[in-house]
Formats: sequence, structure tokens, C-alpha cells
Amino acid sequence: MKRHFDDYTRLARGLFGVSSLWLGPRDLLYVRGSGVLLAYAEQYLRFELDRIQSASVVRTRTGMVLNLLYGSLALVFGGLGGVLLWQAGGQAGGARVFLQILAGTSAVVSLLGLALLAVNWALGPTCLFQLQTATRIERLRPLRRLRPARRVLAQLSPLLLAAQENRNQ
Amino acid sequence: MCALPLFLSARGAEETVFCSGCRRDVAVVAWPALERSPARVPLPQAVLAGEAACFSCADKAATGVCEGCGCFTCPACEAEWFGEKLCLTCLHARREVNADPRFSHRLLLHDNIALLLLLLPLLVIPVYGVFFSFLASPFALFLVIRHRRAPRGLPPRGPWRLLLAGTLAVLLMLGVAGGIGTAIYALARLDDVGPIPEPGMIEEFEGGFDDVPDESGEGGGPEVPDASDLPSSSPEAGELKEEAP
Repeated sequence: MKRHFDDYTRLARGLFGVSSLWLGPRDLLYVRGSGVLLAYAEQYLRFELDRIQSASVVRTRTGMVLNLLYGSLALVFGGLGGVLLWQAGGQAGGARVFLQILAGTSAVVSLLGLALLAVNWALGPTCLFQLQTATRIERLRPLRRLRPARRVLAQLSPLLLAAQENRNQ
Repeated sequence: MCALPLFLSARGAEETVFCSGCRRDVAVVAWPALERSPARVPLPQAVLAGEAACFSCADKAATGVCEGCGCFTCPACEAEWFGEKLCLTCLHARREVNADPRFSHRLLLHDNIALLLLLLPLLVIPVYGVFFSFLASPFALFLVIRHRRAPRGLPPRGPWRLLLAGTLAVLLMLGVAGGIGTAIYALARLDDVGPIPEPGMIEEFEGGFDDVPDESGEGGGPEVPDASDLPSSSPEAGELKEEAP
């Protein structure tokens, strides 16, 4: 996906690029995609910079829960693979091959869990980012991680302040 | 979050407050717009004699002109969109009829739908999903051809999804059609070869195909003894004689 189009610059994008947030000269464009891997539809929500009242960020426990889930997946299947491999040592013929195949499959699942754990760990803690205007409170899905959410907030804050002070004058 | 009101002191600076509803720390930035009262639209006034009337509401006085079609509008029939003052008819035309990307608010992504039609069955049912992908491939190809020039979202996206979906659909259709054609051809060849020989028949040819009699009748095969050549005492001769007409 491109980082710029017309006067818009991409601020953040969600998982697989389904949703994204763009900063324009007058407004903030939130592209809310519907779908899992690929968006089958997109909805465009615009927030004029001089009408955004507040933004809030709350740290959530989703990242921790995911870490626990992926960690247990890696641990359980890793242990299972080890036990199966150990059992295969005492067997002979077809049973040995069967147990070795099972151990290999468990190892693959365990490695997958480890990889997901590493990615989730690297992405950092999760959060909830909400934008408030006079008429709505919108949760921004592309900002689900605390680090990008704080970065975007720090980037937006002076711009919004400048836009709203200009309007007051 | 819980929607409980939070009390903030600063504007334009990040502040961390404890929300008693969520029982969590919330980082909030509030801007001056929070204190500004929402803009009030003046109520339309009744039209007086000699005054211009609103195009849509004939009894209301016009206060503006639509920048799209030039008709007179009252405050209730006027909308501002990105600095343009438009009547509601023009706004509707730009958003829904002309699908101006600046005014669009929702868009179906046909390239992604075509791709999902082909890939989703393969992801859900790893091997047999090919059959469902094949069933979906004409629809995917139709979508690709029908919407090849349709806008692909407000943030521009390349045509690779559309090309990939089209190529995949054509390949799937050709591949499965080729597979079915090959199967039919193989079956037809099987009919030409004739019935599959039974084990007893195979044993008769154990001596090799050289034993099969040729067109002149010479050579080949173990010779069948003539009934007259057999001694009359042998049981085989008796059986043969009985069978002879």
C-alpha cells in the first residue's frame, strides 16, 4: 500500500492493511475495511482537524493474553513433541516412524507458536485509541498497539492545536 | 471504554487520568474544540414578497446559492462539504450517482472479492477446496472483467490484485477443464483397448505373444489335438466325439 496519495500521508495501518489512517491538509481520513485477510469493502470516515475534540489511549490486556496463548501453544506442543520423540526411541518399525511424524508435526506447531509469540512481543502492548468529535466517538482500529498510537498522538496534537487556534482567530 | 466523564485541566497536552469506571489509566489529549459550542444553523425564515425563495421549500427565504447547480437554498437545504456549499440534490448526485471519490463514503472492493472467492476455499479446505475455487472461478472472472475500470478505493491500490484474480481464475478453469478432458480421453482409450483380461486369460499367454497365430494360421499357440488323432480309449476323445454334431 502506498504511503502518500493526493495530499494525504499514511499515519498508520492495521493488520494486513485492512484499515488505515491518513492525514490530509484539512482532515483525518479513517479507512475502515471490512474483512479478515483482504477487505471486501471500505468505509471512509473523515474527521475535520478543527472539529476533533479529544483523543484517548488506554492500554489493554489483549497483548498479554495473546502472549500467554502463543507461549502455551509453543510450550505444550514442544513438550508433546519431546515426549513423542522419547517414546519413539523405544519403538521399532512402523510405530517408530508414526511417532516420529507426530513429533515432527508437534514441533512445527510449537515453532509456529514461538514465531507468533515473537511477533506479538515485538509489536508491543495493545491499546484502544478513540477519537471524539461533537457527534461521535470512533475507535481507530489501525492503532491497536501502544507504540504507534503514542506516536500518532504526538504527531497529531500540535497539528490539531494549530488548526483549532486558527479557527478561533 | 466506559463513557464516564473525565476531568481534564490542560488543552493540547497529554494528560493521564484514572478512570473510575474502567479502573485504568487513560492518556487523554483534549483540544479547544471540546469547549466550543457546536455551530448552530439558523432556522429558515418565511419568504416575503419580492424575496427569492428556496428552490426546494417554496415558502422559505433563500439565504444561499448552490455551488453545484446554482439554485437558491435556505439554511435547511444547504450542506457544506470540503468548502463547497451544495444543495442536497447536488450532494446526493456527487456521493451516490457520480461516485466522486472525494464524496464517497463506502466502496466495494471487487478485486479483493474476486481474489477471496478463489483463495478462501483453498485456505478453508486445503486440497478439496480446489473444486470450490473452480466453481467460483467464472464468477471471479466476471467480476474482474465487469469491474476492471471501477475505482479501487480512495487510497490508490495497484492493479495486481485484479490481475492475480483474473490469471488465477483462467488458470483454474483451464487446469480443471484440461484435467477433465484428459480423464475423458483416457477413458475413451480404455474402451479401445477392450476389456481387462482375467487372470485365467493371462495364464494362457504366459508362453509369450509369439505363440499367437498369425493371419496365415501358421505358428503360435499350443496345438489342439484333433479328435480323430486321439486314441479311442482316452477319456478326452470320448468327450470330444460326444460334443461333435
